[in-house]
Amino acid sequence: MLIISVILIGCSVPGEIPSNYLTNPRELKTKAYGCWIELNRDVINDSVLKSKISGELITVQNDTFFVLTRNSLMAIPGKEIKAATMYLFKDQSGKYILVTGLGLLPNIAGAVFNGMPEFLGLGIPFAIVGSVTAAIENSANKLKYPRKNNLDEFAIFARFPQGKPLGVKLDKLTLKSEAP
Amino acid sequence: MRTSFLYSVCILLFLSFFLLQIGCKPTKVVRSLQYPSQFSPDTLQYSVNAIKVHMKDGSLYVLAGFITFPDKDTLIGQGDLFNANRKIISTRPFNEVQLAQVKEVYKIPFSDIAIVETNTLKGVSGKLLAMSLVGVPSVITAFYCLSNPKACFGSCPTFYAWNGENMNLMAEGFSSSILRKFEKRDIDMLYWSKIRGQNYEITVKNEALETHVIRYADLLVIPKKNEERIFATEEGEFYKTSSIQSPAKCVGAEGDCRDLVSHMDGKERFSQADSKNLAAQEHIDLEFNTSSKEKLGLVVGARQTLLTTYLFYQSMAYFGNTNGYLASRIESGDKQISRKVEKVWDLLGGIEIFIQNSSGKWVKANEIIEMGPIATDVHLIVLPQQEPGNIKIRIKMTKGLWRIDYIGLTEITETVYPIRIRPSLVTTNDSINTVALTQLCDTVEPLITLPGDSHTLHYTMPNLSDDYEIFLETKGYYLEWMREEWMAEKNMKKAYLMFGLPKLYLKSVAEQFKVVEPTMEETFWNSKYVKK
Repeated sequence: MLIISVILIGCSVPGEIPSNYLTNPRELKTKAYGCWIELNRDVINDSVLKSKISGELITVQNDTFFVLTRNSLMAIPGKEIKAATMYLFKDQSGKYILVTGLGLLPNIAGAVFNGMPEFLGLGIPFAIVGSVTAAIENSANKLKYPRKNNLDEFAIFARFPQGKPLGVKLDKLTLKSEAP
Repeated sequence: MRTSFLYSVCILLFLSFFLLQIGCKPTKVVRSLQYPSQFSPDTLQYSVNAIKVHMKDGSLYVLAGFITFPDKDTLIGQGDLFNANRKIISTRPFNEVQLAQVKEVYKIPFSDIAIVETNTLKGVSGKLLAMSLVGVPSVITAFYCLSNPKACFGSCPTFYAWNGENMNLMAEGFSSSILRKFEKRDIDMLYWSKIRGQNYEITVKNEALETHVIRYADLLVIPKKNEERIFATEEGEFYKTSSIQSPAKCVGAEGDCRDLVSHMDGKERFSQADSKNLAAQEHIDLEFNTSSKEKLGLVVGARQTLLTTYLFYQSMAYFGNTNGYLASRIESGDKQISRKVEKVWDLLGGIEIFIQNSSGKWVKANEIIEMGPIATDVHLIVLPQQEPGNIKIRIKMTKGLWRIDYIGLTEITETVYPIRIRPSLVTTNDSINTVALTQLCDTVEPLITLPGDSHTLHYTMPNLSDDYEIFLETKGYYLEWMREEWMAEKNMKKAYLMFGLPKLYLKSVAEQFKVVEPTMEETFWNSKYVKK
């Protein structure tokens, strides 16, 4: 079960997201930037338009999502979004896996050095709790449309949750990693 | 071995599923956005939880602590200011002392704010953060309060009235209303009050580290003549009386106490708390000789000692920075917690009045439950019909909890009904304060006072008599401010003991209280805000 948990968690690690956008959940209270979002849009007959967009959600205005990617600012109408995932904070399941694994070490040691497999049996409940907790945490750090959440739940995690501020040129903004 | 192993696994499995049920919740961020109009509080709001203030121009304040005032459209805070590109423009490091003094702060007009963002984490191991009213710098004389922090002044609005010579402390309002949930009406007799013409003044002060919320402060006046006195019962009924007599006998554990209770003169009869159990009871036996066939009443003038104040402050110290959470649970209607709080005070109880009937049995007549250590309250207890002769009365109360100034037996001549007078004018620092007047006469918005605030309420007396018996009816509640010294005493185990097993707690804390008891009264009255 632990092995399965590790595999599942491994599959969900987002490789394209800058690490400074995946912070500890407590840092959300003071984080000044918006959260990272990945959008899949309906592909239309235009090779210039990409189906997957990944960047910081700047704001949502009049049902249009303004996403700042590494290259430019993109404005995507909400009706064109087929699927979206927003990463609120760093996946916390890893630490539960670690704790569970460490907690099972005595059981493993007992089974090996005493030749008593019953030690492993005693560790089953702890493994269950640890694995289930890790599995639950696995998706807790994300908003997912349309599987789990509505699109209107994403806006409050934007850099400007109030909408586009007057006088601010969104295309002049920069991502956290590029901020001077 | 195999049997015990299976047994162990079963127990562990049960525990694991139980833990999964109660504790296995994913980490969740609950983010809420509020517009400034929703954020404007009707009471002082102070928090050391981080908030983000999104401005209309795209800039952002991330505040580690903030204050808002009910009558001001400005949010005051300390933290970091970011521009639209999230570069830090300036920093005001968080400092609770400076924040409370409004120094080195950002002053953010509500009109420039687009939205205020707060975030709450759930399912994270560790304590759940809650809004507290924390950390106000102590202004009381350092020596007294550092040595005995819980002896220092506190508790509810104080009211001063003319006694013929000067403005004297005569009443304290709604002493037991420590939260909005416990808000109540309070009627206090202004026993020593003297009339000076048609205008009558009362000064209301906030002399503690508290926020006072006063709904109204009305006079209830009843014309009287000569030596008549009018008293109020616990039920809020008013009776005209005559011929008040002192007890022929007054015997407590210490012996004869007649001299101390025969006159309303500030010389009080009180005992020390029990050294092993703060809830231990005592009684005083009284005898009156009367030839009256009229309905009789017992007049009692009393106030509490600082025992309940000490326990209240101690409970705040135990809960530390979780006081706000506790208060919010009570305000949200958590009856279980409310009952636990009330149970502690119920154990201490009030002044129970018993009268001996013709069979020699003690029959309870009533109980005085009004709390408050500052001003002596005068109460009338209507007694069951008695035959003329020797009347025996027993007063039962918690040892060390009550200071009795006066006990008298009186004839009740008639039921009377007071005339209600609302303030016609309010002055603050000698200037007319129409806002405060509206708030005291308004049923929606109350008058809110902060430490050091003082207002003079002016009333116009009716032209019916030369003399009146005057009562003050108030309604409201107050919020005690946390002291820095108390934070160091945070102890959740003791908090749970206090409210979970109050009988046991009152025994366990007796010794600790006895250490401070001898000097508490003096320390209390010497602390800065009070002039007796």
